[in-house]
Amino acid sequence: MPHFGTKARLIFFGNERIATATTTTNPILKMLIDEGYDVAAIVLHHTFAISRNQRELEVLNLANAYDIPVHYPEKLSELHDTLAAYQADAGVLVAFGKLVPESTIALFPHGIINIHPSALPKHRGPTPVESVILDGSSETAVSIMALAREMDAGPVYAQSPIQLTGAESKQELAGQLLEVSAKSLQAVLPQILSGDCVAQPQDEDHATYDELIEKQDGILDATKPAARLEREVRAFLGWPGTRTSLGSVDVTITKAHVSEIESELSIRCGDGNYLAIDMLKPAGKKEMPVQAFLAGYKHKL
Amino acid sequence: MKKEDIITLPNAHLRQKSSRVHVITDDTKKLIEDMTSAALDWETSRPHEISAALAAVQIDRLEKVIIVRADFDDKHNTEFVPLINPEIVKTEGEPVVIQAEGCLSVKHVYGNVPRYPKIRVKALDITGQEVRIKAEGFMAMLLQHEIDHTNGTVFIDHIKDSPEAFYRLDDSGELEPLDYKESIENNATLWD
Repeated sequence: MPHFGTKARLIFFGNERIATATTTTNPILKMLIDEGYDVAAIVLHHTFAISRNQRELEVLNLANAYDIPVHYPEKLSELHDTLAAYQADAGVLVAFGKLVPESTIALFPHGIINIHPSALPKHRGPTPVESVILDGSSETAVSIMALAREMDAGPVYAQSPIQLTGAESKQELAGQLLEVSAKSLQAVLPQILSGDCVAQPQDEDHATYDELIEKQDGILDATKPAARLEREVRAFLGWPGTRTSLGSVDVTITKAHVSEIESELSIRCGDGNYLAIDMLKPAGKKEMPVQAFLAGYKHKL
Repeated sequence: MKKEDIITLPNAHLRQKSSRVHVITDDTKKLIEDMTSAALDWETSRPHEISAALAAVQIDRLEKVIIVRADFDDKHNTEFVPLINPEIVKTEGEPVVIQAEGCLSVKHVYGNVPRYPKIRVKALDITGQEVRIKAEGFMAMLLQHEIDHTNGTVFIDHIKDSPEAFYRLDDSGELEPLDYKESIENNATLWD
């Protein structure tokens, strides 16, 4: 006779910050706990624990509330015996930030299930959320896949598409992607664990990789088309930002739109169109609408 | 043994009475090992369930042997306690539904079976020593279910005419009522 009500034991890797300068409410981990899965431990890469800006790790709130042990290994291999002792059925990995060695994946009978916020095989790599905004894509997806040694190359269990409005910031899109991921994983995880859902290999011929975004990418290059710069404002919001100098004032543009004609505060771009600024943040000041900026800074422009 | 070695309805052996074990031999010990490995293999494919007990007939051996999980809340404790020639010697109270039960030999169907809330069971342990067990709650229900197997009774036989008693387990491991008319009443797999 079976005894039911027992749920699979899982190890959670990462903190669900799927893009830079985002915060998270950890909807995926929350879902796993709410669904009754036995989340035995949380593993974070050690660099998260010593981040320069000391930003609080949201996942620790859940770890404290539910008394889940947290590990910060320098290398996953040093955690091998500890993880093995949990005898977990599977790992779930969201924005862990480092490659995971095969020996760690092999610890779990069902492997490590990875959530990657893109329509794989497109946008492999570290910046899928930013990159679909920069590309001006009309749609993206979340992919639930089996973690493999090569980055984001594992076979895919399920994908859920998301339509883009063309107005979303990186933070808004990241939040939306996480909510959809949680729902999608909730539906598909039981089937993955029972073997009813088999992962399909990715089409390697159509794989694309994103580059890491660097701080200097945030310096506005007015030779680019206006539409591209407007996307950069949304994709780089928070970090690295879209920075330029207006007269003698250093500013970060936080909201803008494309215009064919010059406006109160706009930048002529490489394609002849204008990037009309709606919101901006002068260096050392708070974010403000363009009218407030002009009222205070007009004499410096 | 593998989960595929577990027989399921409509296999008619499940409705046959098993014979008592007269002498505990190496063959009996091998039988217990086979039952244990089959039970453990079964649960690897079940995200929401653990193998709590098994009767020998379920791996197609018509002998009165059952195994009971040492800790049925812990999937990682793979120890089972064997009981040979188990029988109920005393019951207390009136039968009540303790919780829905399922069976490795009845695929996809779960049911609310009224069981005695307290029982006493007599059996032999692996060394042939007589053991007496007082059981209540889930353990009482489980022993009644397994001892039924040794007598050729499957849990659904107790609730054959109770349309409200049948359930299935959905993908997230929750019980969901089954349509009795459609899935149970004339289901040849269950009753033939």
